[in-house]
Order: sequence, then structure tokens, then C-alpha cells
Amino acid sequence: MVLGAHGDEVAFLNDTFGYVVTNFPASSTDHTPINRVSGDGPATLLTLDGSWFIDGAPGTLIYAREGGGDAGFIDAYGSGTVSWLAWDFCECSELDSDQAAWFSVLGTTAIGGGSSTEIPTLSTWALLALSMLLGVVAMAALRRRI
Amino acid sequence: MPNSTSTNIKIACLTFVVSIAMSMSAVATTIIYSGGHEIDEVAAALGDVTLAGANPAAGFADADLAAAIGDGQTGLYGAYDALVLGENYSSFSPAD
Repeated sequence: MVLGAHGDEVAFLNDTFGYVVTNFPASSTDHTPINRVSGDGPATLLTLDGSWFIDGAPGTLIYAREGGGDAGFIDAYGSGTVSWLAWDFCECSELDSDQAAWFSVLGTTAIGGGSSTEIPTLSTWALLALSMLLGVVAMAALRRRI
Repeated sequence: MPNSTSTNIKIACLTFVVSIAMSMSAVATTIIYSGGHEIDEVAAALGDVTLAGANPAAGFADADLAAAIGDGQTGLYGAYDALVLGENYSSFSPAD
């Protein structure tokens, strides 16, 4: 996942992943609304200090700035996912309440494409072991009664 | 009921309870964060998203990042779900 970088994200995204995105000129501090256009997450974000926008977002555009400018996308790439958000997550005296929606997007939409990843555990093996154990106990009990 | 059977039943019940507990608590997203603004508050605010252990709140420097990532399984911080590149990735190249 790539965060905003004062315009440097354009070269990084293009050079690294072969995209063809360009900078969209817009103020990064005017709190212009940014609307969700697909996926899950807050319906509206605000343009916060350190937000930089692009044109030509690849994959699925998830947020777009009112008046122009892509503000977030998710794209399947190889066996993984590339995502980008316009804000650089600089607190920069922004209100916590204004940042909260961006945090939510970072966690639930951009990372993992909206779903958390299940960590492999031993639970499956434990259930199999439990089944075998119960079977052994049942056999032992039956043999004692016969 | 023989003592051995009673013990086996207790072990089976305990195994079942532990297994269910592991299943219910096994969903989370661990991120590794590199170079940018402080993100510890972000990770803390995200509920089931956590910053990888000992990940500096302001992100790893370039050289430390590679060691932290490893191959996703055997790196310093083990398995992770997402690599978040903070603002300071201008020095990264496609090879990185």
C-alpha cells in the first residue's frame, strides 16, 4: 500500500508497477470533500493537509475528489494487491475527527481490499485431534461394556 | 466411570474449548510501516489492524525495512498482511 508523497507517488507507481498515472493539481489543505465511488468505507473524506491527487487511477477507483482528482484506488497485481491513498497521514494540526475516516479507510478498505486476512492456526488440527480422541474414548468405553 | 475415561473426557472438552477460542481470535491484519509520518496512532485506532512488533512509529529506514520484511514468513517480524509505504519512499526503486 502506498500513501501520498507530495507528488512523488506518480513516479513511484509508474516506475514500480507500470501504471500511467499523472498528478492532478489541487490544493492539499482546503478540506474539499472526497467521495467514495466504490467499495466499503466512509461515504465522504475531507482533503487534509498533505493530500495529493492523481488522474488515471488503475484498477478500482475507490475515492474521488469533488472537482476532479482520484484519491484512492485498489488494483490486483500479481498475487497481491496494490493500493494507494492520497493523504500522507500527516496529522499537521488536523482534527482527530477529520482524520478518523481516513484511518478507517486505511484499515478496512485499502489494506487487503476490504477484508482482513485469516492467520493460519492450529485450530483445524486441534479439531481433527479432538475427533480422533473422542473416537478412541468411545471405543474404549464400548470395549469395557462388552 | 473409570478415572481414565473421565480424564480423557476432560481433556477432550478442554481441547475443544481451546480450539474454538483460537478460531474466534485468529483474524487480524498486521501491517509493516515504512518511512513517513507517525502511524502508531493510526494502527492503534484501527481495531483489528496492528503495527508489527517493534515497528518504529515513524517507519523503518530503507535498510532496516528489508530485514523486517524477510520473505513474509521468516522475517524479523514474521508473517504480515500488508506493507504500507509511508510518505518517504522517494528513495525506493522498483528493485526494492
